[in-house]
Amino acid sequence: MATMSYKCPNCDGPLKFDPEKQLFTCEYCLGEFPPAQVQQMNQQKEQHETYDEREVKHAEQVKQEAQAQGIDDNGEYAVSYTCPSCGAEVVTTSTTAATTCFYCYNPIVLGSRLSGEFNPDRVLPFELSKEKAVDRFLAMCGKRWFLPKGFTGKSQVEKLNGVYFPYWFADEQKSAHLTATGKKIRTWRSGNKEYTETRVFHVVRGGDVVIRNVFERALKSESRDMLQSVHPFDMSKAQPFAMSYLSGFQAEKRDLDKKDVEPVIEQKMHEYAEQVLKNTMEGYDVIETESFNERTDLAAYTYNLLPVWMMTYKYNGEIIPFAINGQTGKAYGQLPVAAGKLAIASVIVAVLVFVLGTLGGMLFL
Amino acid sequence: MRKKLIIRSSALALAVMLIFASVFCAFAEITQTYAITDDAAVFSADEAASLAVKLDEAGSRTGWQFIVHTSNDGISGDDALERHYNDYYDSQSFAYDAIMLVIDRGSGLRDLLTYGDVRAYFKDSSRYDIIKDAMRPYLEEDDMVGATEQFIEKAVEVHDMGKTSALVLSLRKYGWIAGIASVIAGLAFFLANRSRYKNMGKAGTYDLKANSSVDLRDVEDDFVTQHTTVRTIREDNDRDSGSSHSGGGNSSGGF
Repeated sequence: MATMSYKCPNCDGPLKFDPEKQLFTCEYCLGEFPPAQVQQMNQQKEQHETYDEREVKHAEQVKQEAQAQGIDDNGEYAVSYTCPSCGAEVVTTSTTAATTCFYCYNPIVLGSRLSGEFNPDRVLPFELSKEKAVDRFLAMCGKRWFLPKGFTGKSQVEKLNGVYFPYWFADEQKSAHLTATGKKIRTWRSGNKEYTETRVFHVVRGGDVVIRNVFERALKSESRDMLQSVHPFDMSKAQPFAMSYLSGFQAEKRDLDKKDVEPVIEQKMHEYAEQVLKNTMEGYDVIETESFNERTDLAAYTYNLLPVWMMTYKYNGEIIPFAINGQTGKAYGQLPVAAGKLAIASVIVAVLVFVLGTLGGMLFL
Repeated sequence: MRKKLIIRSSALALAVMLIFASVFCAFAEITQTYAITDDAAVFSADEAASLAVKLDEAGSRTGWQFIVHTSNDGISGDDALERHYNDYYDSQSFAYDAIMLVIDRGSGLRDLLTYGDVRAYFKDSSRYDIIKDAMRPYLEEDDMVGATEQFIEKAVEVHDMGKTSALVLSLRKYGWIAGIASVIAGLAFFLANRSRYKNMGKAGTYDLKANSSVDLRDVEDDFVTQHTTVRTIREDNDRDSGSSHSGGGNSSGGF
């Protein structure tokens, strides 16, 4: 089957990527290996992995049957693999590219999912370990008094999973030209008169604008809000993609093509280019755009996997995602509110204000 | 014989003067429990004597001094009335804890003034209204005796109600404001916290400055025109002249 398991060259135990050390570690013999060495060791193995036709055919058949019954409308379907360590059947969604065997807990990379056109250009390895992500999560929850009881318990924290999510990134160089009316406004007073002097300028800026790292999610099945808001990432630390980085984490394969995200990215590029030129118009109090045009001279789109610590929980019958940037620790999401606790606290606040107001009123009798 | 005649005629003249004074001049009687200073000669001697009994009873029961003062001073305006009769109170040797009914025949105004511990019973101004409302029908009939009797009766009732608690008074006066403020504060607390839990980490996802650069080839900043507008500022110089005075008691305001 099209699965990869990275083994320790010393004891054949599973290798996992350690975000803090930026090394692969074996939890059995405690061996540590740099990424380059692991990639070199597994290069031949990775190249032999091919897309399993039977797997795809079976999955497509399942999907078609489900669609015919009108029960599959999210574009996802289940696919089964065999764990290379214990032989157990591992069931994943159609976009899962790396996971863990539910029986032996060994990391599995589904190499076929990230080959060919789905081969990412870059991967940004995790820098924040699970322990640190948990610490951040608990520190953040500690400041919030109205979480439901047990929300920060062990069972919740264990749900935190390291996931590589797919994104499209674009860098562009544009020839842009902006014509605007700039106004410098000066106000002063003399006696009971207020004078406002407005000087009007014809302002032109033209040149080459370079905009980098404009991103858009490449996975439609996950919440766009979550995937977009977990940014920013420092892309200067991105590495050329190697499957071994995924070992020990979950990874998602993109299900949005470049053409799907291009209009959104181009719209952003257009707005950013205008803003960049506007930012060079210094000293004006008001800038009113008269005309703006731009032409893209160079454009480069890359497909990247970015690290996110993620958990989900059920709240009001809805599955809510909570994410922590796997590089910077920035948190995104919605925490559940214990409505009863918050209502009681609000009533206490209201009573306090009422008592203070009434006592304060005694000073004005 | 002549000496006897002089003595008799002097005594007669004194008697006539006393009778004259008793009809047209002030009746005044001040005790520990009450005081009647009828400078405007509103009450007859019998009426004054009858009122004195009632005032004495009320004073004994309450521990207050009940003062009824009539005058022809002709003071008008609430502040002036209060100031004038506070000065009058200060000028007399009245008791510290007292309630005074003033009937100014000159201006046609009446006032209720309280002093010392009595003020604590009238912190709630609506208690003055209890007395005023009871007196009003008699005043309309110009029945000053009846009005004064109502004053005595209702003042005793107010005494029996006890002192007005500052907290209760504050509740009555500012309770609605505190109520509204507390509802707003409670709601704001609820919504702010719900929002704090709901929208985390949405901002600052892209740093344009860090991810962009520009090589400018065309830069123009051409002056086109200039205009100046003038606005006249109206300054509001109205300020309160700020007058104040210190009086010994609280007044209900003329009625």
